Amino acid sequence: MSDAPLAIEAGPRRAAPRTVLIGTVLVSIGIVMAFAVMVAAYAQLRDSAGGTTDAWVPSGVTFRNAQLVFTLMTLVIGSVALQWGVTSSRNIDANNTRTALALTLAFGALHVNMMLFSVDAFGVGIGEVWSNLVFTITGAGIALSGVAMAYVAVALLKAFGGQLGVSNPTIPGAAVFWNVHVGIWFLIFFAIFAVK
Amino acid sequence: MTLTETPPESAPTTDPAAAPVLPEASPTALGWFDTADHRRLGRLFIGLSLVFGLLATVLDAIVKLDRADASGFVLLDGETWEQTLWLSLDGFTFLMLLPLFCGIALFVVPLQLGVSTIAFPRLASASFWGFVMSSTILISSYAINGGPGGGDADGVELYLLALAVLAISLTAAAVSIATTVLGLRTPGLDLSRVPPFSWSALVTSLMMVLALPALVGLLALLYVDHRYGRVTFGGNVGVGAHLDWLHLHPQILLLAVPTLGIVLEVVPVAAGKRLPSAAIWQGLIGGFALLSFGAWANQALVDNVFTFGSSGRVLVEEMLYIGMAGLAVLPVLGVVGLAAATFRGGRPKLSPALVLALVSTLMLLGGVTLAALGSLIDATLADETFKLRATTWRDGTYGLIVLGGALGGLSAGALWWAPKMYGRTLNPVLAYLQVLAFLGGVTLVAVPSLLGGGIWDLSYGPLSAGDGASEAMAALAAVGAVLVFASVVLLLLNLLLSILGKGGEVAGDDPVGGHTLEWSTGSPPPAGNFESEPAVTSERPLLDAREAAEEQA
Repeated sequence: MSDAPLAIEAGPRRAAPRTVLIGTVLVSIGIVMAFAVMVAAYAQLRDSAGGTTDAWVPSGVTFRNAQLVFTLMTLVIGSVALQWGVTSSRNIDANNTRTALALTLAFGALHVNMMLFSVDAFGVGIGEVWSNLVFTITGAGIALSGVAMAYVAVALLKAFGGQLGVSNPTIPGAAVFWNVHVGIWFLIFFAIFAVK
Repeated sequence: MTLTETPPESAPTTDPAAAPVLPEASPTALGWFDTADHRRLGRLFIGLSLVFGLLATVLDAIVKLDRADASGFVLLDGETWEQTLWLSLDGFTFLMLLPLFCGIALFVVPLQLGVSTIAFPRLASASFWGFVMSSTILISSYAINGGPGGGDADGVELYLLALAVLAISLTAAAVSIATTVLGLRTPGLDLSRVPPFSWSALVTSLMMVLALPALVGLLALLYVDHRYGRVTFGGNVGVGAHLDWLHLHPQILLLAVPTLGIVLEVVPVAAGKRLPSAAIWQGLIGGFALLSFGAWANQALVDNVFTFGSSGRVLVEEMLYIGMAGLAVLPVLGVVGLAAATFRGGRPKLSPALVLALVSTLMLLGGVTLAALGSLIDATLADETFKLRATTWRDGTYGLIVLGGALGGLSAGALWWAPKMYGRTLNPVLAYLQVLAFLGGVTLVAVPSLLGGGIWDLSYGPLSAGDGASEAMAALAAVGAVLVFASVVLLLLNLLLSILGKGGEVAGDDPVGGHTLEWSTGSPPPAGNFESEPAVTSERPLLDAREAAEEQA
């Protein structure tokens, strides 16, 4: 570089980049698009099949609505717990941060468990139009919950390592990802279990 | 640089004037396998995409050659012809053009932004190796009679899986590129001062983040349905119908978005002048990128997107579709106008990159205009038995947009930044030969296809019956495809002879008289790119410095 034709002066120190948060938002947008296409295809095929629940949902399918509402609320409580973790991390409060993130993980595990039970309880096998779509969408949703939990787990491990506040951008990143994932579950719940 | 070092984006900078210190990459061949260095990843993406480009262009030539004989197939049988067509289309989009864009952007964007690295370097590394793995599996799936319309069910499912991994890998690279532009710029370089290529890389990456995951969602549905019952999407044949949107207007416009950034990068340097207000060209490139979003126009979401010879209205005849196709002409026209205005009163320095960038932008303008015109004619023509979209008109517009606009633009980018990437200048004779082969090739692909479709109603599929004229049109298109193949060969040959064979002259830091930050550092750039993060007060810091030095002198 010594033979650079024109010298550009060195700049002042750059503010800490928010790459983790920006990257998380971009990935979240991509995931929303993937689920949007799947849910839109579900709605389109439902309309093509006549648009009524009787014409669309195979006979004998059981929806465990109580469990489904509870599992959705579990995710919302997980969001609240994670926000507690974000605030605690910002205040460099290690104990509260770790407790909040651990609680979020527990709520995530409860949600996955309840969803697996609810899907198993449908009482219909794969291989039909409706069940192929629903198993794909809910299966992808459960996998997404696993990814969101893994993200929270990484943030928790970093918190255990003493990284809090600006030195641990994974905590607000995990919160963004978790909340987007909760939003996607609301979409799935509305399209498949409420409207059917 | 290895995968185990401290992530550059989180490395604390204690000295305000000091750049982040990055360890040198391993000089051995092993260093290329575990690298997270944006310079090496960029070169790897570019090299492999050009090799895959040879495959795609050869297959395209074979497909066109087989279409030239109405009495039967020359080289392939009917089913293999369909699969070869699909592999060439997938090859252009997923194996060549998107990875070539990723490669150029991974290398150039951090340099233009004055930073030492790409955001998420390990993600970018994973993206490249994911691309290598999935592209190999994708080609293998065709080899075992898979792919859309394939006869082997496992092969079709392998294809769906490989395409999904490929889309995820390219999305990962896009996230890395977009995050770099949004979050890692040198002080003073706000978004309104980002150079045209970096801006086009940002909007292309954002559109990739929107479109490719939508493809993954669709592939998940297709895979499960294909695996369990084939009750919804039409089995092996349905796979092709549901993925057709990837190779149709408007989705193919995405491939050409970087071309607009590249031409606006090359023209001001060649003319020695500035572009007008950044808001104008940023709006034009951004608008074109927005109009390239085509995931909404797929067969799973609307009843009838595009049915050959169908009667009744289909999506491509609706006002929304025609309106979007028509609007896409305006941003390209605006960029052509900006380029012309920048040249006015200047003395442009001719170079192969400049000629190729201009030619590709004009071809893109022709392609989007004719695509819009075709949609309008199909919608308004009373004759339901004749639809331009079912003829080789589709081939002609595809040739102008994808081969002419996208491949030409990205090849111009490769020529432009090659001295910076490899530290040696390319052979100008070979480069001009490449431009000539490209110009002749795309013209021969596009013009006979447009004439064959518009005048002789030449079918998009293989010829079932044809007269001498229509066979001649198809044969000319095949010759054009061979010339396009030759242009890719010439680019690769030039890189091999000039760089690996050390036939090119050693390039200085700024062999082109550039305006933006990448030309202020070494060719090739050293580890860390810059000795210190440069301060920027305008869109063209090097031009400012040069003008200030001239004033002082």
